Amino acid sequence: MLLKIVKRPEPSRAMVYLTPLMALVLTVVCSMGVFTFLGVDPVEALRNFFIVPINNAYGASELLVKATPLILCAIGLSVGFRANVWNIGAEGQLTLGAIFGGGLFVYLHDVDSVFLLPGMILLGAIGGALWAGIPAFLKTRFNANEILTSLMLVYVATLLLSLLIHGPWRDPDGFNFPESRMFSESATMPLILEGTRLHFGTILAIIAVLGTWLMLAKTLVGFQIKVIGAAPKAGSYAGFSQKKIIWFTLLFGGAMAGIAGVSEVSGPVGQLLPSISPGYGFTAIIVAFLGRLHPVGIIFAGLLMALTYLGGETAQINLGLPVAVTGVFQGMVLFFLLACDVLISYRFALNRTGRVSG
Amino acid sequence: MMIGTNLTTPRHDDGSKRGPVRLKVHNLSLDSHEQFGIDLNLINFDVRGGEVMGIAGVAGNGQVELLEVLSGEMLCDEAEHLLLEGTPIGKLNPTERRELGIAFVPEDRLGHGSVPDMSLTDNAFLSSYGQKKLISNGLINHKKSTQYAEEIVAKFDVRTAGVTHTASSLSGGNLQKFIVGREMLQDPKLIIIAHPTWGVDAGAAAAIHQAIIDLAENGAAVLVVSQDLDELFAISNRIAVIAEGRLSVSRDIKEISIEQIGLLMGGTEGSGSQKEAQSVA
Amino acid sequence: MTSKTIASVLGAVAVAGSMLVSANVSAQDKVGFVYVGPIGDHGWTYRHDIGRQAVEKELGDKVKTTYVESVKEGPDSERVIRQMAADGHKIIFTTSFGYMNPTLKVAKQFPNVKFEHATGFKRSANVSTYSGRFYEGRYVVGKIAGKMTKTNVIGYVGSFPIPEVVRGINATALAARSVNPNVEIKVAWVNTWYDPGKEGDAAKALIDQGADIIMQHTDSPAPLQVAEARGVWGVGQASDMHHFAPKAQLTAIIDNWDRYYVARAKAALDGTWKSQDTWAGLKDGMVEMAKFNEAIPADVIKLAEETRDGIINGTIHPFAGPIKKQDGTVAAKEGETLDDGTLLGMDWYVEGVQGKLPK
Repeated sequence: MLLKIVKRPEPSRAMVYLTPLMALVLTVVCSMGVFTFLGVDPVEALRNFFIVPINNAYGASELLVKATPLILCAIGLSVGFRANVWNIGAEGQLTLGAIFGGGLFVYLHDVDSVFLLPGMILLGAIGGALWAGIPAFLKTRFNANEILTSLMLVYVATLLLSLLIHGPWRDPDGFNFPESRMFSESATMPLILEGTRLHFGTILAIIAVLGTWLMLAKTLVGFQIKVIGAAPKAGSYAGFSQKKIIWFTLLFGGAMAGIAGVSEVSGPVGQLLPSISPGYGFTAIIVAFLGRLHPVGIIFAGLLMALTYLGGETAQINLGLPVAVTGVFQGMVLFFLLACDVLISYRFALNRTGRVSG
Repeated sequence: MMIGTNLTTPRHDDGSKRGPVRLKVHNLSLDSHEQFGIDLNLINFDVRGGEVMGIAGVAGNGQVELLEVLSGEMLCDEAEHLLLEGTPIGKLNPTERRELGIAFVPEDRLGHGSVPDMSLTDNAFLSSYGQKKLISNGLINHKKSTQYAEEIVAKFDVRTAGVTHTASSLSGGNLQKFIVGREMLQDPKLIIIAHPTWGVDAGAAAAIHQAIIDLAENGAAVLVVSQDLDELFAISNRIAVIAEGRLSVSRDIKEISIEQIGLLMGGTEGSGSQKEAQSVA
Repeated sequence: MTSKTIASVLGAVAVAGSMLVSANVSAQDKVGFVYVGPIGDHGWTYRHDIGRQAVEKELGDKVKTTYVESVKEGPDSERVIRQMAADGHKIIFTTSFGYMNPTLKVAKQFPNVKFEHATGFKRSANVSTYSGRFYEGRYVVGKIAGKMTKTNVIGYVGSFPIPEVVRGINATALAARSVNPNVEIKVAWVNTWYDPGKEGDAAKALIDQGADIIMQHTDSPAPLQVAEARGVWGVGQASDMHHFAPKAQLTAIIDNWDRYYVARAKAALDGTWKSQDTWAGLKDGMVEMAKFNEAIPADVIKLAEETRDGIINGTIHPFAGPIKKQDGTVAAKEGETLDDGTLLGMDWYVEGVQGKLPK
């Protein structure tokens, strides 16, 4: 072997920033090969995938609309992941947020008040946090694995929404179809840009990112999260309570997902339906890792993932590419990122002994 | 011999400066929850201000459990088992114990005493933020933390490229000096140090020993737990042996020899007088 | 990276990006299709795509067809529909109930584009609705099922308890019990249109509960494949699925959109398109029965064919009275027939269906 892999004395900070870019470049290069193989002009395909969806103001606004719930969920999840608390149930917490927030409208649908929407958002956060509190309780009290509990609660949440939509919360004027009333003006997210679907939820996402950055970088609880995740024994040595951090990170993640849920139903969806999310809570896990669990990274990762969805649709419409192209792209980005991540802790060196090593 | 280091055997002055009892461990018993843990059984000892108390023992005889219960990572069944200047502290957590002026250097420097991938500044903050007031207005004061880290590096001669580098980038000896320095510069009333120079080069070991002696001379109560008898005999005023979760009666260092301590550590009976063996209780 | 660097990098990307943009001029008019599942579902979406191919074949010189698969109902669908409307499509077919509100929203903003929404009930000046009287096919199948079942339990894999699905269950029950009063229908709800894993699991559960005939209102062949593996009967949904279950498939209810799609596309192109509601069945060929399984006895096949012909020539109506609801009340007396309005809003089970509908 000409090259060998050598551990770095300490993790390379430069590589932490470079590897996502390297992964992107490798994905672009590799996908050009895929497109050629499919018989499509690779440059045209890339253009349709990355540029065309956002080449006008409307497209850019759609990108933000799609990225908003991803970023909200991912920022909440990232805090937990840093502390080794594996919340896989953001999809369920998002659903409960929609239920709680949307439920307020269902019962107060005649009310025309400026406090209705803020109340819905607050309730959405509470609903999501409550749902995440269940795995937190089970973990701190019974040491139940939060991956399993939070994931299984996703199905419970979906069925709960279905129960409500088909039953007591069904729109009386809806011909018995399972949907709630359309949300009124005072229950709808205000638009930021007329003529687009860009709504206040995006502002909430930005606030969430900034707040999380502040918390992680500057507060004691943020420090505790990082230490407990990196070296739990050091955390206990420092007197940091693992149980408190488990509760905090799960409630925080749940609240963020809950806000994402209520933002979606009071924004682009406009009502409660049996299916209000195409899996944002799960995709957000990818976004969180793609963004290196760092608030700024998550913004870029959320935008990138959203772009792959939009690009996939554009590629289907304009070039007749198959729907699988979206999944292939996302898979490649993740794959190359994981591969390039090796370079953070290791580097290549020439094997100078001249012999085959290993 | 290492080039460039000044190796002096740390000398330890004895007795006259010892103050009142700082730490009293009274009838401490604790059942271990670990599968291969050692139960602690009626442990009794004192540490006075100005003295270095050494606890010798072969690893695996209850040191880990004892250290955990002293640092607060494990709580006592009753608060009165541990008394700091008369105040029961057995139920206090590590943060509360630090507020009372207790400092700890744990056995494992990487992963327990420090977070390997965090900077020295962050690692300085880790255990000292309360005592050194590194939090202002609810936010971490990064500048003050950096200054503290740099003070540690300067005073304890830690060889590093800078306090922004990670703990894992330091050699064993330098990291140990850093952690010891971090704890000592908090001006503790009582400091508990586990295996102070395990895996540490001779120059750093000498520096650490001198720092321990100096700290005691300035009035702190020091408890050292170690396997290294030479070390304990060099720096301690008094010494006891831990074996199978029980502690021997502590003795003045001048009244006992290394060989006798070694035999107690081995758990043999019948060497010396019967009293000797029965006093491991 | 400093924020300045980031800003300038983004700026460079934006400039480079805008330079790569070229005007998207289409030479041909476009006909768009939005699918809720993959074409490979060999069911609902697959049949819509066959319809699309018919449009390509008939009008390929005048139009280009485009399609997007697996578009989730909700905000994603609104984006896709709008993207098509903004980009030279003359007529767009949105092929799932959940696309209703997004279709209407986009239609409002693009008054010159025509929209066709499948299985919906809201229309506007440029939005039509269309659906098939699939329940007619269910009725034919119900007769066969009533005769063929030995355990008297028919298992039904349901997607969502919306009227369309309930209609299908009820038609099956009425037909089956008309030839075998002991038949019961058991329903398992999977809360999705397409999820082979869940659909298959539901079929397994129903078979474990005694069903020896499996029917479905979901889009993949999974329930049929389970039926084949377990040696019970099944019915193909939306398309002929017998190559997935050569022994098990009794018949299939086939959706045939070809004629409708070609006609509507033509109308959009030559300006004769008007908003309307179409609800066609066996008579107009929108619903077809697949070849009957050879293992079915000749007299049962004859019954099925007679039923089918009767529906076509109007002598048989699946929802002709007497019809008793599950709760015992009378929905239709002898000689009465349920009208379309009642059918469209059907939210109650007939006698013979087990379980409760959510209220």
